[in-house]
Amino acid sequence: MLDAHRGIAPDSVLTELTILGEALRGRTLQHINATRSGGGVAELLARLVPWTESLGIRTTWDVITGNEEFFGVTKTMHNALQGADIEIPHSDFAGYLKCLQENAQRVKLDADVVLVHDPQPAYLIDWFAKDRRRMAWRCHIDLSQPNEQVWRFLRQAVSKYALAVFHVPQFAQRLPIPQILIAPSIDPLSEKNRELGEAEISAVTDRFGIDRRRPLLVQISRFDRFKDPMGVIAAHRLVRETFDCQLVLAGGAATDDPEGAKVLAEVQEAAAGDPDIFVLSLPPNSDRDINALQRAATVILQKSTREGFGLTVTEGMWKGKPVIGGAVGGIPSQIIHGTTGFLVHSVEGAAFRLRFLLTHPRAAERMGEQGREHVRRHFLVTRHVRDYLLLMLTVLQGCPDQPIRLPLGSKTP
Amino acid sequence: MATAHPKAENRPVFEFWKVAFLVEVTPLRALSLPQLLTGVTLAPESSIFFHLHQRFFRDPARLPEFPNDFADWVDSILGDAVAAERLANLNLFRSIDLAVVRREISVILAEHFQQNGDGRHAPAGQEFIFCQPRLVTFGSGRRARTPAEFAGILREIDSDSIGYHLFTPKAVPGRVANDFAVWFRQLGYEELARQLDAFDPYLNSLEDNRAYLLEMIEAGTKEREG
Repeated sequence: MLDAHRGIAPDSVLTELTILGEALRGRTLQHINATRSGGGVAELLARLVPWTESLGIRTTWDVITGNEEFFGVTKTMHNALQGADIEIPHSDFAGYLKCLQENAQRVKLDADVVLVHDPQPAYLIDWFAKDRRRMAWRCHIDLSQPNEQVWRFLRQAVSKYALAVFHVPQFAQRLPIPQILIAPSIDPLSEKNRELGEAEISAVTDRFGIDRRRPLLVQISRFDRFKDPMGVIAAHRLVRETFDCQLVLAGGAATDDPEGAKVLAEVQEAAAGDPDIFVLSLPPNSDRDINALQRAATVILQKSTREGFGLTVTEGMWKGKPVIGGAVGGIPSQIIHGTTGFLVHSVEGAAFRLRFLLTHPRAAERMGEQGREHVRRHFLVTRHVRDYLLLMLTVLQGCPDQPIRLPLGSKTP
Repeated sequence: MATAHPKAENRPVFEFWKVAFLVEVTPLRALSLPQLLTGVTLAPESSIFFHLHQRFFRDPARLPEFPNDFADWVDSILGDAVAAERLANLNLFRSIDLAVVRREISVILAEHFQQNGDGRHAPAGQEFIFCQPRLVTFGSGRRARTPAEFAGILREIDSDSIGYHLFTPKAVPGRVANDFAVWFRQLGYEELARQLDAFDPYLNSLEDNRAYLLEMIEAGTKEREG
């Protein structure tokens, strides 16, 4: 895999992967999360697991199971942790814990380092007391303004891990354990991000009835209120008062998101009868379609009101597109305002920046080029794997305060 | 001028090391200049070091307008250009005695808000968050025995390695020279070592530092190697 990324990823990161991979060869890593498909976490893991495997680190990926009630509670927790004003009854927490207890009997923790992703499986740690020093909690959501009741509940579990990992400093909390920052990434060689020819792009846009001769605005996201699809429709309507342009809102469903169908229905209703708005509910394995839609776009949007980290922001920049994103969560760490795109706070802000980019195609092109280089340096999977290897070293060495020194050819103890 | 050079078999070997780091968040936050002063007073030394150097590693090809995080935050978030310029003008290149630097930053901040008031507060979500690095250093496998080998490796080694050898040794109390100056002094290139020692790496990006170092080394070793 290293060779395939030569000439794409920075050389320094590839060198680091070689040296760190050698030091960790023979070690084992286990990921645990709540879904194998749909949403950013599953997508990241699908790319990261083969990477660490290719470096000689045996890597497993376990998914917890639960009924509709369990995922209903975890979705409510997810919304509350991202700031929604919701009170969760104690009985729901009890049901959540019971389901995790059942999972704990099924899941085997047999790796040197275990990464537990997001709140859904966080309480598994209660059933693995002797393994806590090798378990890290990886948070993928925007915890900048969490609902106090739900965070108080979750904090008790998170505090038991060896360390916690967040996307950006603003998500870190008061915890008695070290808190590390690791930004997510994209794989430039995946079906979603690889180069596509014009014919491949047109085949997809033609299938959906999109006119390539007119400007195209694209937001790719799950149908989730925090992604603000209604705000995007409103911004498009403001822009269309002066520009003839089309809008694509496209996304799939995640198995741990029971709200998606309801939001999709609302969006379809808002767009009904408008021939220039394409609401596309994409099935799993639509990566090539998403790639083509992003490459066909004039501008990419991710107008979220809460966002852990917008993978679609990174994907859009990698495709050389200017990106307009909500100034929330991890997005300000991705978009350099005025250089690779724009950060906005309102529907009007989005409309204003869209009008600017549609009027200034050269500026848009320059932003796209700068965005691609920004992603190459900071947001490719190679940097992400390197950070996970550093994390493994840190956990294996008991999170020491002093720097870890690895002479060439050394192995981890 | 160069003094006696060690014989080939006695020449010290220069090993290029690489550095990578994870960023760890500390509990310290600041929303204003007075709070930044409190944070600077309480932060671990590794955090002060991190905020003075991380921008060089983050974008090795470009020298940012303000080379340290303190100055950048005060300018871009608090909108206080005067305080930002004072913080940018910290003179780090002779040595990085972190106790002295911490005191210098504290004096700048204290004097500034005594003269100008507390100033603006950062909007929610844009506070200064003190972080520190969790460093991993590792051998790159590149070793030089002669100035020519050294220049060859320096030309192509990753920029983090250059940053590591320029910045981190000077953070050791009492140490002034960077690793490169020390090695050339051991080889007997006293004049070149003095120039390398006087070289200020804080005024350039790491890639520009690479180019300047190569120029100096090629000029300083030409006569003898030729």
